[in-house]
Amino acid sequence: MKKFLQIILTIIVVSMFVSCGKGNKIVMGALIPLSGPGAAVGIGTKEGMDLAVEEINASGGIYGKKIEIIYEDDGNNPKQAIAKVEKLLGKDEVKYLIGGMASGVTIGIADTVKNYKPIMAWIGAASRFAEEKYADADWFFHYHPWEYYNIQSTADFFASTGAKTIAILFEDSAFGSGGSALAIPMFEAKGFKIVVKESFKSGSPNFTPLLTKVKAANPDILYVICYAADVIPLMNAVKELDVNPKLIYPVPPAWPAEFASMPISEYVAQLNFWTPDFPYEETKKFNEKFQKKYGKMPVSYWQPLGYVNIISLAEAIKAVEAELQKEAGKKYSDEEYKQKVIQALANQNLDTPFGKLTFKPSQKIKYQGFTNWLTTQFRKGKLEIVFPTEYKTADLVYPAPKWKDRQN
Amino acid sequence: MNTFIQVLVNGILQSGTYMITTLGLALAVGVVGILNLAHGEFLMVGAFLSIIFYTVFGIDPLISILIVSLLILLLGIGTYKISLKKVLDSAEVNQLLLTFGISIILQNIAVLYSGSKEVMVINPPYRDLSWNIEGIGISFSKTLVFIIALILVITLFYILNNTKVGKSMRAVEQNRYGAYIVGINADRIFKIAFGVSVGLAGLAGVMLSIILYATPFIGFNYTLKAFAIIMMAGMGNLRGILWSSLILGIIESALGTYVPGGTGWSEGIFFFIILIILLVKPEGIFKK
Amino acid sequence: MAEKIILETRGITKYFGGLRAVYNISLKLNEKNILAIIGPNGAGKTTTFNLISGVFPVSSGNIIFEGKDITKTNPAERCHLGIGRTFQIMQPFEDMSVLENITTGALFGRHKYSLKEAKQKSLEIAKRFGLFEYKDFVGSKLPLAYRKKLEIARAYATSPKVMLLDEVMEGLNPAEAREMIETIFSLRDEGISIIMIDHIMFTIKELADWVIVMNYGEKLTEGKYDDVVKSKEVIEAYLGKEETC
Repeated sequence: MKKFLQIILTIIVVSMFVSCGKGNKIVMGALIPLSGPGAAVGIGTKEGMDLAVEEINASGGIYGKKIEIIYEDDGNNPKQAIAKVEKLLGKDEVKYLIGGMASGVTIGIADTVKNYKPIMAWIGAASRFAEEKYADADWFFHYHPWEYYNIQSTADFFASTGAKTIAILFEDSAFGSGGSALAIPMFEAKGFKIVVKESFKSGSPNFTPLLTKVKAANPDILYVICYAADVIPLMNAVKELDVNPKLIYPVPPAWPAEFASMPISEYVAQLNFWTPDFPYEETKKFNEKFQKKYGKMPVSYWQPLGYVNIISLAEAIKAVEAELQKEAGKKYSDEEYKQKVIQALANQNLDTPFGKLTFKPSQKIKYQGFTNWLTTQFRKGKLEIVFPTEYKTADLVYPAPKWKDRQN
Repeated sequence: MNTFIQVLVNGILQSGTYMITTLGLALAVGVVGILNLAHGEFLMVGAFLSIIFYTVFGIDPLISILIVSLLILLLGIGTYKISLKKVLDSAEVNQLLLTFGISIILQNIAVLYSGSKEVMVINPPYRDLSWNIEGIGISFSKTLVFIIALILVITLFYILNNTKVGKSMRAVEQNRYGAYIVGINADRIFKIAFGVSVGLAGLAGVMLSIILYATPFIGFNYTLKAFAIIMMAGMGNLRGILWSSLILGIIESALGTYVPGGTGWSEGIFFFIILIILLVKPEGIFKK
Repeated sequence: MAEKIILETRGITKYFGGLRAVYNISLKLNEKNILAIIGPNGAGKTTTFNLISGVFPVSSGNIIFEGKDITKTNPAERCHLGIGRTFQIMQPFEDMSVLENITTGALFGRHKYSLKEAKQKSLEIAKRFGLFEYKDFVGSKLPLAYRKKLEIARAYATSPKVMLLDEVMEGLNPAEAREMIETIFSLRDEGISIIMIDHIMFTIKELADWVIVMNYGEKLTEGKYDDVVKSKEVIEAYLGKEETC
């Protein structure tokens, strides 16, 4: 009996050591905003990432190797981000840098990351200035569409409505000013007249002065570059002042969860990277898995994007590990391994909740993932895809009925 | 012309929130002598509590407003007893640090509570109610805030001048040692005054949850504006607070509508005003 | 006729951090007496007043009022018991009128008057102290002599049994000083026991039943005025200014 127990104990202890061995984990470093105004996005991203990790590890990991993510909070602050990324790459020595949200942070950490050249599978940043910073990085894989893609989609959509005048309100940091600087010439090039062009401070909840001005200008389309926190006070003020553009088009990177169920959301249109109603198989599967784990439906695109971040990278690593499995005892050097993973990602053709994922060159970088944006419109609490018409789930309502003509 | 009237209306209604918040802070700064950097955070807690009462218990904010204000009043008394009491007589820096610390703690509790929701919103049936008179949009809830603010100003004025408690507060505000030796238990007064001070902030927070939403970070802005208005009005000058709030509300509204990039300015305007007043007339520009 | 002791301190001492401000001060105040405390600047006189009125808690020692130990009470409670005081650096309520200042004392003092009663009493008190013409003046705008009267009037309004008067003679011209002496006597005649701190020797000579001399926080000596001023130690330590006007 004693001997039996000793053997059991030894097995347990040895297997603990074995699994604690460095070579049996795949460690990724995730840099996302978990505090401060961007926290909602970061937390959503983490939910998606955790879901993916759990799914992969539950089925044995990648050929026995479990994925582990070290999360670091960048607080949406470049200075803080630099310190954290240095810790991930220098101290924790992660080979895979994932996550990301703000362009400012992405730009800020560039020099530090270039010292280490990890495989950077990045789901953040839309600004072309961020794109420039990584133009020379052939280990940089960018999943999130660049802003010029979305401006182009927006301009195309606006042109399809027959509108003539646009009022633009934009928040005054890099996101808003950069976006508007890009958008205005593109709109003007398509023949639109910009009747109002005003900046505001995001998170400052008083929109009545600006909207009084917009009302006086009477535009066809009201285009607003803002963050989630601004949407509700914006729409409240629109209703309060009885401002009636033919279409309202805010483009925050995430929407407040309750907005869809509020009457003021009706007929509001926006650029959308993703809705839970996307027609793909993977979308439905993701929704179910997410609902099962968290007891709620996903609400922003960051949740599936975090999920895809892990699944995509894991697929690439799996392809390389599969090769190693074929020849027992074969080993790659760290550099060889890294190049193999890069190759695998470059050749990737993956079904995701967003549709097909492949990497192609963008204006400045080598590996750009998603590029397409759709226009959706809130209808009775649901997001309907209205443009481009080949993907539509409902017809666009334009012009939107005036406030006093609505039932609510 | 329509626009002009709308601008005036916007500014006047906006000043209601400022009035309520500032009244509270004036009590803390004037009577208790505390520079309470956490004032806005008590407003934020009020907004959160209002939302919790609505979403969990189904109680409308206009009904829960008294309970919430009372809860925050108690929270204020507790906070005073545990911490603020000890820094009443120390250098202002200590008070600022302590209240700043309190604000961070409250903010982070709120962040923990709201999780991945960036804003917490409720939708009581009258939320979007507004009237349209000759093309001028007037929001029901903002009007309500303004009326409540006026009532509070008048009530406070009456209490301070015509009741025993009020007189003791004025005495303590004007001379703490003088108050002690005539038999006023200044410590008890401080407790009550501070509780009422943050209770008022909480009340403003409940109204804010109807007009706007709650996030962990809405407080700070209101704290700063309240300080600016107190400077402009002059210490202990209730009427001054009323007029200063109105003026600043209207300036903010006019800047935002008429001046390109004006909303950026309107934040700065508050601080520009503090600067000017500190240089020119530090005791405030309104006569008592 | 054995005089009753109304206020007594037993060995009170006060440390501010490491600084010893007042050490082992024992004094007795008899009913309807006027006790004077004199001594050079920094001797600890005002600190002693602060300890007796409760503005500072003692580091050690006891304070007995009407036979009861009040060492652990706060200033407001002591005021309610019947100890009133004035401050050397006057502390009126700046933005209140003279009448309101006095009313505040009446409202919160030993007797709980209603608002109306307090206002009534204050008018009488203002008249008594010659402040009636100034009753609507704002505290900060009064001339010096009247501010001193206001300090006393306000303390008086709290219906004290003991009054601590801190340098009430300072800065007064001879006529005003004479008036103040009469006022203090009248308070004593009403039944109020008084401890006063002052520098003006001729007033001490007239008013004091008993004199205590303090120096460096300790009691140097005590006795009747004539004995005390002849004492060698006192002459060495300090001789106050004789007003020669």
